[in-house]
Amino acid sequence: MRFVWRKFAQLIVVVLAVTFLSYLMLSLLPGDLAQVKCGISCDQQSLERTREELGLNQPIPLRYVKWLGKAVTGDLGKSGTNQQPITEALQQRLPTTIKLLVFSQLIALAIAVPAAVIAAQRAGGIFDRISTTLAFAGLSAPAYVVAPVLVYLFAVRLKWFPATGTEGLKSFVLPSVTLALAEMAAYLRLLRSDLISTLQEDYITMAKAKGLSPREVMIKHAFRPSTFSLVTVMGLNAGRLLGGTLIIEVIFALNGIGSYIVQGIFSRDYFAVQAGVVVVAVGYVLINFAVDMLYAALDPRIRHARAIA
Amino acid sequence: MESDLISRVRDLATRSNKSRAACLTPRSPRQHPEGLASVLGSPETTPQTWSRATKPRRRRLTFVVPTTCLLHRARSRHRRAHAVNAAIAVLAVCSLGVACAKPSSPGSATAPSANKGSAIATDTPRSGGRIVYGLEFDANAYVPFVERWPWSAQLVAQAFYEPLATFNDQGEVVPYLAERIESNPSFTEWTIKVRPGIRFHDGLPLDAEAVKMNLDKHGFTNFSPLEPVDHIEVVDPLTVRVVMKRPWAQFPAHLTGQIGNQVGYMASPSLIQADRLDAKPVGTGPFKFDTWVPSDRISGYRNPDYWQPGLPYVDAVEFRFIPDHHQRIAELQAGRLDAMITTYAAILDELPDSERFHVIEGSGNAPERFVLLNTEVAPLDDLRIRRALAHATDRQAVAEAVEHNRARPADGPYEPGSPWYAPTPYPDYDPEQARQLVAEYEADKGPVRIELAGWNSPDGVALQQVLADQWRAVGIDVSLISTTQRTLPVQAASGKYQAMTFRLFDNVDPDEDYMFLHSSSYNPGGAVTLLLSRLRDSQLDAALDEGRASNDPATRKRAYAKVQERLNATLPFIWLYHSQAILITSEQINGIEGAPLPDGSTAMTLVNGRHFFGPVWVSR
Repeated sequence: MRFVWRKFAQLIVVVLAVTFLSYLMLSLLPGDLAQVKCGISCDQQSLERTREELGLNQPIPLRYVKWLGKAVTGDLGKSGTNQQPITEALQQRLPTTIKLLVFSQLIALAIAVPAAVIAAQRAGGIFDRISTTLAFAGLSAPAYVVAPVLVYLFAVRLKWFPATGTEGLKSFVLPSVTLALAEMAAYLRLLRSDLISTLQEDYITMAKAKGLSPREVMIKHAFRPSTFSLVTVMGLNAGRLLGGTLIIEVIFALNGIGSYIVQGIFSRDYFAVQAGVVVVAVGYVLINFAVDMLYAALDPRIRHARAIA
Repeated sequence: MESDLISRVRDLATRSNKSRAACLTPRSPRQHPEGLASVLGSPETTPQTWSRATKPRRRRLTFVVPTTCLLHRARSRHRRAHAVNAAIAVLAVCSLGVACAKPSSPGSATAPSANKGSAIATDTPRSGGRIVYGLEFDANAYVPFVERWPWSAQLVAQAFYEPLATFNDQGEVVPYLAERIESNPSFTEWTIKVRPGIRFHDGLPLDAEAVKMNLDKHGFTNFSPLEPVDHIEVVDPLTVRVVMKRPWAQFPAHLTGQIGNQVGYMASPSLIQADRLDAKPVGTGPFKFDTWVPSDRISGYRNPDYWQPGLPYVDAVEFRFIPDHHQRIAELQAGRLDAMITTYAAILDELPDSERFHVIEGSGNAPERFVLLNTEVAPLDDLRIRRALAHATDRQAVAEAVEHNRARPADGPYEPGSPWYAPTPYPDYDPEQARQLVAEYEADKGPVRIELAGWNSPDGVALQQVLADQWRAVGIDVSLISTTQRTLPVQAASGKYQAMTFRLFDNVDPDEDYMFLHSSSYNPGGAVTLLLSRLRDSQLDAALDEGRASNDPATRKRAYAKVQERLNATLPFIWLYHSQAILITSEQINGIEGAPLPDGSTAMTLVNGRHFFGPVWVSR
């Protein structure tokens, strides 16, 4: 329980630090939200008025504290550019981001895990070599190359999946596969090498000596201890994907958190960027919290150590 | 080939009841106002440009009736490749008196020949259906006086709002929501009478009071296109009188709702009174506002109380924002979009199966792509460096690299063939000369460093890189900065830039560019100004004023020749190429070209990438 509290305290510190720093950095960038909002035909008077309305005349720390006070009560304000309430924008965008994240990870794992297990079983074998080569190909093909190819094949030619949009699960297939391709390669390589080194451990020899089948050895003895790095990397990846799928979002016209933040940055829409940053920061901390929990589930020694502490 | 030609001609004739004389009137790509025929006839502006050599791949058809006669035929790229030959052939046939003047057999209209696809399945519009458009950018607000709509949002606005006036296919301003727009002989007072019985979507009437509120809302400062207006009076329930500070002959052109000039669109008085930035569109248009998910989509449904009887034909429209050109065209091909709009002509390379699509190019005036220079900051405040940039820029190479040679190099704000175009000396591509000018400047004032800003779209970035390469080759240190299409105009207006790739000058009447060129728009002290280049030139001002005050075509032609001459002497702009709005629709979408206007004339097709939504219908 103490562990959970500690994590919670950590979450608050991280969110405060991240939001304040991003507030500060945005304020230091050249450009002016009032100018963007007021538009090209805005005279000095209306510019000043807009600045006042947006509270841009106040010092940065004061603005930050005011923002924080409201944010705590769930009021993230309105977008400085199109006046949409930010909570509404996040409601529209967060599901997109989460779906993209979950689907891409599931697809990546669904292919990487079995492939890694088979490859590790016969390291250096024909399957291993083929999967390694394909993994490298997947890793080195950037999303902006893969995406148009997939779109051409599956959206334009075969018409199986739509190329853009967020309606139904079908729309998420192509972007998720594009994202999964690179991830899958990394997961495959990681799990394969961990499995190979685990398979050389003494206790595996022991298990084999006991007469267990290679399949049982792999699933019951080797697999779980080999997933540590995989889980760590997955946690980091998932956090990154929360706000970092911009290329995919732009190509597939998906409106997720990533493009929201970037649009906000371009138009100096502090409030929108702040909200996006909070979502990413909270998500990151939560995911890493889940990863920590998973460690404990995977390794009794960690459970034990935490119980003592 | 022969039977194909005959069927083409028959087909044309059925859909064109125009006289043979009309069929034979040559037209420039820009629609010419009446009364300029004499100017057009002069050898210096010979508008017909037939040969492949002069207009290699991109071709706008150039005949009056061809708008109906030929553009229908010329919808696909393949067809366009043959269209010029066909046009000549059709002309030959017309001149023999075979087809154009004579309505042909009734059967041919409903039986188009097989090799043309079913571009027009039937000529009778059908009701029902829904159209989904793919557009590039969303706007911050769909209220005419809140912000200047980005280019693609202009089309969205057209579904909800309507202008007081519009351009017909003769290039004349004709009333739209207005019934009459008239002036006194000295152009110091204009009277606008609106049509009776028009209501906004919220039930309020479009009356004189509403017109006055709308025009007043834009203000008459030098940030407003209505700067010459002194005040507006309500004369009777349907009529207002607009009193000018000085003569303004071209006032009606400003009521057509051009880009950057939205004063002609009528919004409901309730919107104006509420004065909320987050207001939803309430106009008189054929569609009522339904939903808006910013950056994703905006939609509208049929306005059952629309003032034009029988319109609109379709039940609903939806605009989806898909920033990537390639994805938009992929969705169109996959049938998930009915239409898409772009200015990126190279995209047509990606449309292999073009028989299934209509390709409609904008008429009116093609916008120019150019580099906007801030003449108030060093080193661009020095004419030598601006000249050096002009000499260093290989416009042909830029057009080839960015638009795959589908755009023609520009040397001014008007295209050759426009009634306003005048051949004007402009610095040739001459890297040696550029190098000398740079060296001269450097000896005087030190190294030349320029930051070039531009759009972060794929073509925008490509354009910047090509320019940076060419400029670096003459010894200029160029750095690049990319930003969104929304941010650029704001940076330009506030003067926070050195050089910037830009797109402007797509107005049909050159007077509509006044506020971007005349020094009266200038605000000193680093304040926001519409004189984006900050270049003030008294001769340019005089020419612009002359063009504004006069209604005489010859005087105006002379005035705008002077405008071009001064622009190319003072070089606030490095011209690149003429671009054009391109609308690609599925074959089921009809009624965009040759749309009828309330006064009985025909609308100019796709002015600034916009069209009226009322007459659009779906043939499936």
